[in-house]
Amino acid sequence: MPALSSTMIEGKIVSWVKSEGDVLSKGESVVVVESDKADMDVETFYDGILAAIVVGEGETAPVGAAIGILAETEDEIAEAKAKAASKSGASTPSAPPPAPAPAAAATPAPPKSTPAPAAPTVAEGPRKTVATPYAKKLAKQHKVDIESVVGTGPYGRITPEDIEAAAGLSPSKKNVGLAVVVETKPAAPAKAPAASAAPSSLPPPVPGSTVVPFTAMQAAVSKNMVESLSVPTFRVGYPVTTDALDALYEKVKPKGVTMTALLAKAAAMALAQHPVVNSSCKDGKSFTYNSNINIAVAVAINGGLITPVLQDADKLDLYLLSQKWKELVEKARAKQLQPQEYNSGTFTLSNLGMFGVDRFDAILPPGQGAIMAVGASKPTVVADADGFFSVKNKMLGIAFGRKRFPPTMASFRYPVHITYLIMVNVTADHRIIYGADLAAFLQTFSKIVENPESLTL
Amino acid sequence: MHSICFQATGVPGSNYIFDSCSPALAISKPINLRFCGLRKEAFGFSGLTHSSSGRVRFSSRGHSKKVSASAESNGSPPKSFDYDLIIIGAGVGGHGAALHAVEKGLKTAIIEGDVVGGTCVNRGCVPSKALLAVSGKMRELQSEHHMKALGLQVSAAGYDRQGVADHANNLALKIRSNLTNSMKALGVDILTGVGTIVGPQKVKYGKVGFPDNIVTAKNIIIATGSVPFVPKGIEVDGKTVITSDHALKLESVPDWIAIVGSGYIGLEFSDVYTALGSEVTFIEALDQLMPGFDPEIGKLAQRVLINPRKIDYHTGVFATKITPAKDGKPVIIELIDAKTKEPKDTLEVDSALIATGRAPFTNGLGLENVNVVTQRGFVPVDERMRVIDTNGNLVPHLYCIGDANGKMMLAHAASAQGISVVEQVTGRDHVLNHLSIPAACFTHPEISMVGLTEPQAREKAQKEGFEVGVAKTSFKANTKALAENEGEGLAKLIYRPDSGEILGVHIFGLHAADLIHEASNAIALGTRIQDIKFAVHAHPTLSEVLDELFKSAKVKAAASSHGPVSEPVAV
Repeated sequence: MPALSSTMIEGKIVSWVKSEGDVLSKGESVVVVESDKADMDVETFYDGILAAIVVGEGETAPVGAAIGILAETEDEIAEAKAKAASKSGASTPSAPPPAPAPAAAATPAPPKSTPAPAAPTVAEGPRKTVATPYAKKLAKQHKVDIESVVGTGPYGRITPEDIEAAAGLSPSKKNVGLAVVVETKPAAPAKAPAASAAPSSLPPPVPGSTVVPFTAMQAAVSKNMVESLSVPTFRVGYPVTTDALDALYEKVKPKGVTMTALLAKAAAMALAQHPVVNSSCKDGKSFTYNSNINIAVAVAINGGLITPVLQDADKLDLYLLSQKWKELVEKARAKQLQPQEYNSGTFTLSNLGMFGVDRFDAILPPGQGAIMAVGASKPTVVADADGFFSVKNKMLGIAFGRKRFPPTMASFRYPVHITYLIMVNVTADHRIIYGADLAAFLQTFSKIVENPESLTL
Repeated sequence: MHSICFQATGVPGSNYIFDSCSPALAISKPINLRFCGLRKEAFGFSGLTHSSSGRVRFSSRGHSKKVSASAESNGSPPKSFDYDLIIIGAGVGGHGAALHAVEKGLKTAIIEGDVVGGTCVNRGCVPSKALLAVSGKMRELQSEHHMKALGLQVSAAGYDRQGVADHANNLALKIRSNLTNSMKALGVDILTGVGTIVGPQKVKYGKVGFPDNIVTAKNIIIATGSVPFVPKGIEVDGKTVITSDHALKLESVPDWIAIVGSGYIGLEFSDVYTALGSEVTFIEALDQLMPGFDPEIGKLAQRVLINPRKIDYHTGVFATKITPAKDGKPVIIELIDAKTKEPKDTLEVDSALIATGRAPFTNGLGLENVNVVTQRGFVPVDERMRVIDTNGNLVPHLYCIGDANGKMMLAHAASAQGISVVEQVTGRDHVLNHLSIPAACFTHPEISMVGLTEPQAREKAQKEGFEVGVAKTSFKANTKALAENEGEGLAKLIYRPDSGEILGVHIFGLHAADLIHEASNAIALGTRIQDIKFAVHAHPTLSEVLDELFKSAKVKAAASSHGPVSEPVAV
C-alpha cells in the first residue's frame, strides 16, 4: 500500500484496474486506491505479471503492506499465489504494518500476537474493550495496541487521553493543532521520555520569536534523528584518489551517467564484498543481512531531506542506474515517491562536495548499518610512489553541474606532484560493524574508485 | 433517511409571489406551469424580513381582501360553506397554502392542535439552523490552522450550553410568532384544536374536554406533517436516548453520542455535536454513510465531514435494542447485521440520538369517514395531491400535502405542494415538478442538490436512450472561496449533451445551500445550459462556481434553445 499523502496511514482499494494474470509494464495503472485525501491511480514501477491480489476491492490495508504480488516470470506465479494465500489468511486487523520492502512482494512481519487479556483488571469477567471514536483514531495514528491500554474514562472506557498517555505524548490540550503533535514510537517508551519531556523543560521562547510547525517531512526527519541517538555509532575516514574516476566520468557523462550513479555503483560493489556493512541490527541481538544492496542517497529538497533509494545498485548497470536516479529525483521533487522508494535503503550515501565541504560525518539513519559521507576534493599535495608530489583538485559534484578544472590538469607532472583527493567518512553501527570491517570496506571502495573500469562492466 | 424540513425555508427575505412571475413563464405548456423558484415563507412582519418585502405583503393583503369579498358576493357556492379552504395543520406546508389562498381570494381557516409552525419551525429546520450557526462559528474559532492562515489570533474558544440552547429556542419562538402574525394579519382564521374529517367537505375540531365545533369548507387540505420515527426496540427516555425533538433543546452535550441514521438529520447533528466537543458514532443500516446523496458528493462529504472529525461508524447494521442509561450503566446499543440478522456488536455510549427518519402524523384524522386508508401511515394522493380512496377513486375536494403524503419530506416541498393545490382549486391546473425542488444539508461546509443523482440519471438515460454528460468544478478555483480560505468543495452538473437540459446539480462546499437555487430555478423554468451559460455573475462571488459549471458543460452545437424539455416529474 503506497503512501499517497503525508497523513495517510491506511488505504482502501477502490478497484483493481488489472486482474490476476495480466501482464504489466512499467508505468501502467494497476489499482485505484482511496486515501484520506483522494482516489488515485497507482502504477507499477516494474514489468511483470500480476500474480495475485492480496487485498481485494473495498478492503483496507495499512501503508506499506503488500496489496498484490508481482511475478517476474510465469513460473513464479504459483509461488506468489501460495504466498498471497498464506498472507491473506494470516493477516489480522491488529497486525502492525509490515516494514515496507523493495518490491510489492514483501513478506510481512509475522503478526504481533495480541497480549492475552490475562491481567484481571475488571472483576466482572470477560469484558470487551470500549474505546471512543477519537481514541480509536489516535491509536491507529500512533500505532498503539488498543487492547493493551487500560481505560480511565467513564465505565472504564478508553479515552483519547489514555491513548496519548500510552503513546508517550504529552496530553494535548483541546485546542492544540494536530500538526504539532510529535510522533513518538510507542514501542520504546523507555527511550522516548528524554525526547518528549524535553520541550517542557526548555526556557520560554525569546520574545518576538515565531514558531513554525514542522512539515510532515521535517517531522519525519526529526523523529528519525532522535531515534538515531539510541544506536552506538563510530566513524572512520579514508582519503580516496579520484583521477581515474573523473576521467571515466568525462567519458560516460554524454551517455547520461551521473556522478551519483558512479559513487552509488562503487559503494554497492564494495558492499557486495563486505556484506556486514550492508547489514543492520534490528533488535540489538542479531545481524540482519540484507539480500539486496539498496543505496539510499540523501537529497535536500523542498525545505526537507529525503533519501531516494537506488535498489539493487550492485546489479543494475551504470546507465540504468543513472536513468533510475533521474526518475527518482523528479519524483521526489513532485512528492510522488512511493514509500519503498525512500525507505528501503540498506546503506546511505550523502554528499556535500558540491558545496565545497571538504569533510563531514553523517548521522546513521535508523534501520541501517552504515552511511557514507563524501566531501569535496581539495588540491592535495602528495608524494608519488616515485617520490614526486602531485596536486589534486577535482570536485565531485552530483547532478548539480558545477564547473570543474579540466581533467587534463592531472597529466602535468611537476617536481611537486598534485593529485585529486576526496575524504570519505563512514558512520556505522558498532553493534554489528567493527573498525576493521569498515576499514576493509573503505579499502575496497577506494580500490574500485581508483580503478573504475569495473564500474562500467 | 427521510428527513423532513431541515431546510432553508425558515429563511425569510425573498418574497416571490407565484402569480407575479407566472406570466413570464409562458415557455412551457400552460397547464404545466412551473414555479419560478421556490416560494419562501412570507413573514410579513418579521423583524428579519426586509422592509421592502414587508411592503409587498401589505399591498397584496389589501388586494386579496377585496377579491375575497367580491368572490363571495358573486353568489358562488361559498354561501353554503363556512370557508372556501380549510387547512388541517399549521406547519410550513399549511402556512404556505394559507398565504397563497388568501392571495387568491379564498376565505381560509387553518386548524392547529399544537403550536403554529409545525416541525420545521419548532422542532426542525429553524432551531437546528441556530445550533448549526453556533457549530460553524465554533469550528472556525477552533481551527487554529484556519485562523492562522487568515492572520488571526484567537485564544481558546468556549461556549455556554444554556446560551446556545436559548439561541435556538428564541429563534423558534420568534419565527413562530412571525408565522402566526402573518396569517392573522392576512385574515386567516386560526382554529385551535385537533382537526378530524367527519364527512365530505366537513371537519370538526376542538380541544380535549371541550365541545367540538364543526365547520364546512369547499376544499380541505390535510397538512398534518410527521413525527420522528423510532424503530421498535428503542426506548426513548428523552434524556440519554433522544430524538431530534429533544436534541434541539440541547439539554446536554454528551461526551460520546451514537447517532442512529446518517441522513440529513444525523449528519447535521454530528456537525453540531462534534463542534461542541462530543465524539460521535454513526449507526447506519445501509452499506454506506449518507446513502441518499450522489455517490461522488457523499464520498467527498465523508472525507471532509466524517473522517477527520472525532467520528466513527458502523454500517450495514440495525440497532435492535437501545436501553437508556440507568442504574450506573451507560446507554447500551445492540447491533445486528442488516443482512444476516446476526448479533454484531454491542456499544456503550453516553447518549443515543435516533435520526432514522420521520413517520407521517395522520392518526385520528377521520380518514375512514371518507373511505381512505393510509399506506404505512401516509395519505395516498395523485400527482395533484388529490387524496385517493380505497377504491382508487379521487376523493372530491380533499387534498394532502407535505410529509403526510410522503412524496418529498421537505418543508419547502410541502409549501410548494400547498401552493399547487390552491392554484388548482382556484381554476388553474397545476402539477408541481418535484425534480426542481432543491434539498440541502447544513453541515460545514454545506451539501445541496436538485434533480437526479448521477446513477439515477444514467439509469433513466439507459431506459430512454439518451446520453448523459457530467461536468464538475472545484471551489479551489473560486476567488471568493479562497479569500474565505474555504477552497474545499465540488459542484457537479448532470445534463443531456444533446439538448442542454439540466438533469441534476449537486454541490458540496461553502454556502452550497444558497448556491443551489440558480440550478433549481433553471430546472423549474426549463432553462437550458446553452442559455444560462450567458447569464452574468458578479465577480468575485461563490455563484461563479455555478457559472463555471455551466460553461464547462459540453452541449452539442445542434441543441436548440427552444422546444420542450422533458416533462416535469410529479412523483
